[in-house]
Amino acid sequence: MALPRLRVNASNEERLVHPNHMVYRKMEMLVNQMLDAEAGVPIKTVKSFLSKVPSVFTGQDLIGWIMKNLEMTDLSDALHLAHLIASHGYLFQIDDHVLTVKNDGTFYRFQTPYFWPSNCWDPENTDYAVYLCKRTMQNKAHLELEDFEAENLAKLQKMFSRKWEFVFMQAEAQYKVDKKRDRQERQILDSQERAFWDVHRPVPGCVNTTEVDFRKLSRSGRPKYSSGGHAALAASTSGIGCTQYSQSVAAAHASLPSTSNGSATSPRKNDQEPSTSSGGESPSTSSAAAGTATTSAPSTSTPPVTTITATINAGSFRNNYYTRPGLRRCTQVQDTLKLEIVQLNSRLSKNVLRTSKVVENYLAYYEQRRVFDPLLTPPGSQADPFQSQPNPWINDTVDFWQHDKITGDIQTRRLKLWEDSFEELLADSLGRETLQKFLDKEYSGENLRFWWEVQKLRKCSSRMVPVMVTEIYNEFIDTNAATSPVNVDCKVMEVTEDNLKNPNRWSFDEAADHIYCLMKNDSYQRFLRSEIYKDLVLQSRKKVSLNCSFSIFAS
Amino acid sequence: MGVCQSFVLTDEMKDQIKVNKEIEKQLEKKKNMQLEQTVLLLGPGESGKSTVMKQMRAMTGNYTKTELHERKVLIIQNLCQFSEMLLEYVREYILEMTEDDDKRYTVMCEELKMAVIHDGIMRPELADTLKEFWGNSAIQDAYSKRDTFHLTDSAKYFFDNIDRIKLPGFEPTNQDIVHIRVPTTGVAQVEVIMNNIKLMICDCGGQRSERRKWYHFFDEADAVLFVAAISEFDQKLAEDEETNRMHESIRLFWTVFNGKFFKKAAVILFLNKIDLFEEKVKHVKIKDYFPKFEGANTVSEGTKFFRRQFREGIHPDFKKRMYTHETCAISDQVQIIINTVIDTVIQDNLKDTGMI
Repeated sequence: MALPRLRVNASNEERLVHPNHMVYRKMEMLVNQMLDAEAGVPIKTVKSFLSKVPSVFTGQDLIGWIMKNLEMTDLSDALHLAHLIASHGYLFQIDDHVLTVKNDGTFYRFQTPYFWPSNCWDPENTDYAVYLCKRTMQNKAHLELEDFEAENLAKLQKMFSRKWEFVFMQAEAQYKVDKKRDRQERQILDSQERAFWDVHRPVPGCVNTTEVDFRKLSRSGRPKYSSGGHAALAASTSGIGCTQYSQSVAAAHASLPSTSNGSATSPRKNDQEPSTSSGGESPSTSSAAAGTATTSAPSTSTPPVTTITATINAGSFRNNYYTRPGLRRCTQVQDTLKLEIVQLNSRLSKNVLRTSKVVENYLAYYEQRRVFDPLLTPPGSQADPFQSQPNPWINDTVDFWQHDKITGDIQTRRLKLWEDSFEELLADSLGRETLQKFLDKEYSGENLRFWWEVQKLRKCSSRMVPVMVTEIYNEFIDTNAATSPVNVDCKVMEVTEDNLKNPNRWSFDEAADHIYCLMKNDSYQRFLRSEIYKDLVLQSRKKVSLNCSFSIFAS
Repeated sequence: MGVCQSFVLTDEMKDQIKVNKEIEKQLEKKKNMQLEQTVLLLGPGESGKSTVMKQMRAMTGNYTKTELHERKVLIIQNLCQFSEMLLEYVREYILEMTEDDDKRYTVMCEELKMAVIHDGIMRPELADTLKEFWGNSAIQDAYSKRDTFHLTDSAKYFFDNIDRIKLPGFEPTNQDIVHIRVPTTGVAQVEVIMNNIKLMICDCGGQRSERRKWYHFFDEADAVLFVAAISEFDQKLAEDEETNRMHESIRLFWTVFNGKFFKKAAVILFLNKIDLFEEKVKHVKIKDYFPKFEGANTVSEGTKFFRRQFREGIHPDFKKRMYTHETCAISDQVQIIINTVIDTVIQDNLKDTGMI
């Protein structure tokens, strides 16, 4: 019964590592030594007037054990270490809320491993509200709320006023469950639960040791680490069959049946010992042992055995999963560093053109295109070799925009731009039309049509991408069935076929670049010498001379 | 008022232009009907069809200044492309070249691209780096394996002439122009006048995807000049790495002259790049690629074999009208062969039509 639950918890917790896990690991190794039945801190049940105090040890016992086993000579060092362990919630004073240790006869108790901080607890205010509300339902005087707890309850009640009924119902349900437990068991659980909340909601003025350093938190890569609790809640829900328990307290309750089972089995072991050692005595039943007023040696050792069993199981699982996340993180770090090294090396090997050369190129380019720049060469001025219409913004005329409509010819400036570079020709829709006519005449019109379809593919909506890719492939690329195959070599074809395994708007870019170069180097030269282009130039030049004669006439 | 007047005059000018055009067209038609002949240049990719056309053009006239300038830019662009191909091969097969050299040559390629954009003007330092690049041992290793990555045969010519190309006043010669490599797409038509006869030369793209366009001209052709590169019997197609170039040439030749087309056209076969064939036959065995070949591995035996290969698969009607020549299109001497062949063929055609 106990083992399956622990394994489930462990497997889930393996995926989680608390940012402070290294500190917790060291502390828990030490605490596990303290819990050892033979070599650890002696745990006993103390009798007092009309009652017993189970499973406790004194501050003196703890400090003595630390100084003896850790070979400390300085009392203050031992006290400091004990204080650290207590402040992190591994042990607590049974009658006080302050988590510290004194070297006197005050009684202390170990926290159940379920509540250890390495389990990545991050309890919410709702859980705290349920806990405080449950406390108010109990009649025991020593369980009354402290002043700070009463204040917290009032604040929470105000905060959760809308769902306070829900909180109350949960508290009531938990109270009923607790009522059914054995008195001694309930006493221990209550103190451990109270200690848990003293860690996470400390007395005003005390440090909250569960707060995590921000840098550690960001380094671990997770803003929260509370999903372990959710997993435990799921396990407990399936076990108990109730979905209204809060995650932390319900999970705590789920772990207790294993404890009771452990205590049930321990007395049987003890029954065997008396028979072998004493010989003549008759064995007693577990219930009889619990019921007797005077306690015997076997019943005294029952709680330590139970605690040790649970601790060992939890510890072994915890030890198992500590190493794996660490290894994973180291591997990730290595991979990241290797990737970074590769990137930096590629940057080093990347060839860079010197800035002075870049500037030279820019100057040459813009000097070459001076006549096309309206700012440097105002249209219509004497310096304008094309004698375009005047700048509309300066002369307040609209002739510039309407030139082609009025005269029916293409501007000389525009035609010269086509001659200046192939890109200008393709960027002009009229240029593309004219080039298309020329290419059709030369039986290579499919090149421009293919290139243009690829440009449109780059800008179409996502929904249309697969459709257009298929259309372009069927018309221009398909080696056996294309209606207008373009001339690409096997290398480019191979790259394109690879790209088409995941069709996207850039699948044909290599092929389009190849065809672009083909048009530019072969067809473009002949286009500029073709009759189509020459006729256009002649027409526009006649218009220019006509305009000149008109200006002469006007003057 | 001014706008109205210009509009009216524009109309008049348009009408006049139209009339002039019509008259000129009629005059041209009369001339054409008398002496026009159409010659098709066919063949697989990179066999030298455009080179033959350039030579035919060079025989009949000079290039204009603008055209020479264009050719100059294309030469720089060819140098850039060749450099990039060689450099890429060196990197891919990790031939021995230092990282510093690799960087410098990459920058050199970038500067060549800039030179292409800036009208083909090359800086002296760039030319020096280019010469050093060509002298690099790794680059020479890559060049010796140029058949595997389709580097054109013109590369060596241009690299060897960098000293002349880099000069500010450099003007391409005919030798320079015929060495320029630019793939042809579509059908480039050029009119050339040879021996008082106007020839319409149709230079067609040779890659597989370009061949369906040939059919548009099959009916008009008076002569077909088929160009095959005899030196490429051990190389693969650029558009299909699995097919031998010479096998492709032969099969293509058989397909074109299978009897369906060119009922009256003359068939001229140029086995081009004979100079490279002479070099290659010294260390590559023809029999390795053409098992039927039985003779000695010599130039004369090889050319005989390939002549027979081309001839045996065509329709019998064409065999009477077939003329075969071994040529080196980049050599100016090819002009003599072209002149003789074209003259003979055209004279025969004209006799058939009764015009002479």
